[in-house]
Amino acid sequence: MMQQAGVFIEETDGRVKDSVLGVISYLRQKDVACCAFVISGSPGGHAEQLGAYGVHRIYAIEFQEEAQARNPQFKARAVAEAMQAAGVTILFGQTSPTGRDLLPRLAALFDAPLVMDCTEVDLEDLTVSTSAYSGKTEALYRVRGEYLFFGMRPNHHLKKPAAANPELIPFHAKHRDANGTAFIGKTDTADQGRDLNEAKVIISGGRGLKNGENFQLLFDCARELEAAVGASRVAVDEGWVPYTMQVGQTGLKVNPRLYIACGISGSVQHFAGMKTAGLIIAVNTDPKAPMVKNADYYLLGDLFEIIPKLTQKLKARAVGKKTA
Amino acid sequence: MRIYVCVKQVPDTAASIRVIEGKRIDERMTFIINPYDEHCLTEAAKIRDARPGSEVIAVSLGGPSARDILRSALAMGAERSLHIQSERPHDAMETARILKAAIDLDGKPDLIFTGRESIDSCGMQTMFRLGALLQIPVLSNAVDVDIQEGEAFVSTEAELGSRLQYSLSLPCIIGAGRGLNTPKYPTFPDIMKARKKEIRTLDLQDLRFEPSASSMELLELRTVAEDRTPRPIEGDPDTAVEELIRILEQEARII
Ligand SMILES: Cc1cc2nc3c(=O)[nH]c(=O)nc-3n(C[C@H](O)[C@H](O)[C@H](O)COP(=O)(O)OP(=O)(O)OC[C@H]3O[C@@H](n4cnc5c(N)ncnc54)[C@H](O)[C@@H]3O)c2cc1C
Ligand SMILES: Nc1ncnc2c1ncn2[C@@H]1O[C@H](COP(=O)(O)O)[C@@H](O)[C@H]1O
Repeated sequence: MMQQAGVFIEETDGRVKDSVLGVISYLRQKDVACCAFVISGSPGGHAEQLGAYGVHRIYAIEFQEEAQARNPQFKARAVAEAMQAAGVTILFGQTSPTGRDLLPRLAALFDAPLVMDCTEVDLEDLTVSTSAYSGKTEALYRVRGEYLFFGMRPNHHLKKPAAANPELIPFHAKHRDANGTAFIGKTDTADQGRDLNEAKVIISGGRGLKNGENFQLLFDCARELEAAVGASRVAVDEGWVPYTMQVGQTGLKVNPRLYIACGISGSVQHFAGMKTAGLIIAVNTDPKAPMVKNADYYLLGDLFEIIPKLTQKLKARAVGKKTA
Repeated sequence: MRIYVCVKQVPDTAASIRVIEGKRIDERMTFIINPYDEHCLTEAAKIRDARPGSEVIAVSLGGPSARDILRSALAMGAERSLHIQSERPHDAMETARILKAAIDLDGKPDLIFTGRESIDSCGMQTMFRLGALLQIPVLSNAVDVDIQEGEAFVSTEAELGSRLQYSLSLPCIIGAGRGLNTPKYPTFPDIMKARKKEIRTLDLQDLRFEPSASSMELLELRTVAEDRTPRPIEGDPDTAVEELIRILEQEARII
């Protein structure tokens, strides 16, 4: 019989995240039937988009009250109920802020194994590859349990369309016990940022930027590259940029196709957050900086000269393309 | 209030990792407190200081290096500590059971702190499992904590920097994020005082818990090769930037 697995759907701007479509594509290539679990206010449960990537069934989870959808404990309970209703015992999510909360809650509810930051999962012999010791090693685990949970490393597997005609199943969560947790409210920060986890291109700055205002140089360049802006811990500790932009061991672990490090020395702890990037380019004045020694390309120069020039040339190029 | 803080020993982040027999690491290196656990200790001490009669108890499961970590935890303000001695690795299900059993044996918690993740194994799950076993609420990645009568008001950091506010009934478990506070490192007198504080040793055999039907077993550990060969982008700034754009277009294929 064909293996079956659930995938928890994360969305951004009303669309399924590319990284989630990557997980679905990965499973479809292994000939695993995908059952999507969607918590969404948007009607239709993303059926069109999920269908285009080969999802067979969609459980569209609905709550009685808005506050329940915002309560992490309710959310986990609801997904657990939906999994049981669907007969799904294996669930894939991502090592994203959403996945980091939801997956361990589910694993705890079922007393089931959970591996985060997975790169490969073999559902035949139940082995999983993940990283350990800040990316310095790779670990292979065997998991055993009636239920299994996996948080995949975002963007490790790329999306590939494969059409199917999914069945859409509305699901009403029944559980009413919030287990002592109440949602009060949400404050949005005025953020120039894009989701670093989702970003295909990241341009990051460190102490070399000298102050917070100068980060605007990176934001300007990022606009041309459709990139997200990241930072080293020094830039965060100095208060130049918010902590949510920190890449590294004690920040975000990112996995873009391209990482441009500007004025970042490349400490072990910074590398721990970005060493899996497809291509790394260092812009630094110091030929001895570890970032330079561990990059694919390095440009020895003053970022205050290089970055504005890059932005300007990219702009000119975009205009040239439009008029051509 | 009785506040428990779970602290884990992790290899110093700058240390190089040597794999032995493809399964474990050479432990002849410096171990440090998991950085998030320092935020836990600092926050716990702050809460205790605001409430006379409260105490902070650090708990750690691990080999001999866990004792050193507990000594640092005592220097960072914990009154006393529990060391659950074990030389073998434990998976996430077992770790949570052992921590629960140790806390149960010691006393009734009003509040438990853990780090949002450990930087060596990055399980990101201990607190949730502990919460499920104790049947108390859990929130992770806390950046603000305000304890009131029977209730904790907690802000967590969500995606793209937005913050979510919750109230949790006490007792509860809070997973510290980095934005929670600036760790208060011990002074020399703190370190001297810590020498006289208690580290209570518990043996695994003394702790009672039902084993889990689930398990996670480490089969293999291998060092990741650093295999990038850096190539220069040369020339005067204009030439170099042109070349950079060519790389973005033809190699990275992002423009
Ligand atoms: C437990 C622990 C956890 C940590 N976690 C993290 C983490 O998650 N993320 C993280 O980043 N760090 C982390 N750190 C800190 C880390 O050790 C480094 O201190 C930090 O990464 C250095 O930041 P930086 O590269 O911006 O600064 P620096 O090391 O000071 O480097 C600045 C670089 O900018 C270059 N530069 C200066 N001016 C220019 C210019 N005009 N043009 C071009 N280049 C220029 C310099 O040559 C230099 O290489 C952690 C440390 C510890 C102990
Ligand atoms: N062996 C341990 N002893 C004490 N606390 C631990 C242990 N393992 C994990 N923890 C706690 O759980 C947090 C998260 O760890 P993890 O779930 O492994 O990412 C850590 O920051 C500690 O607070």
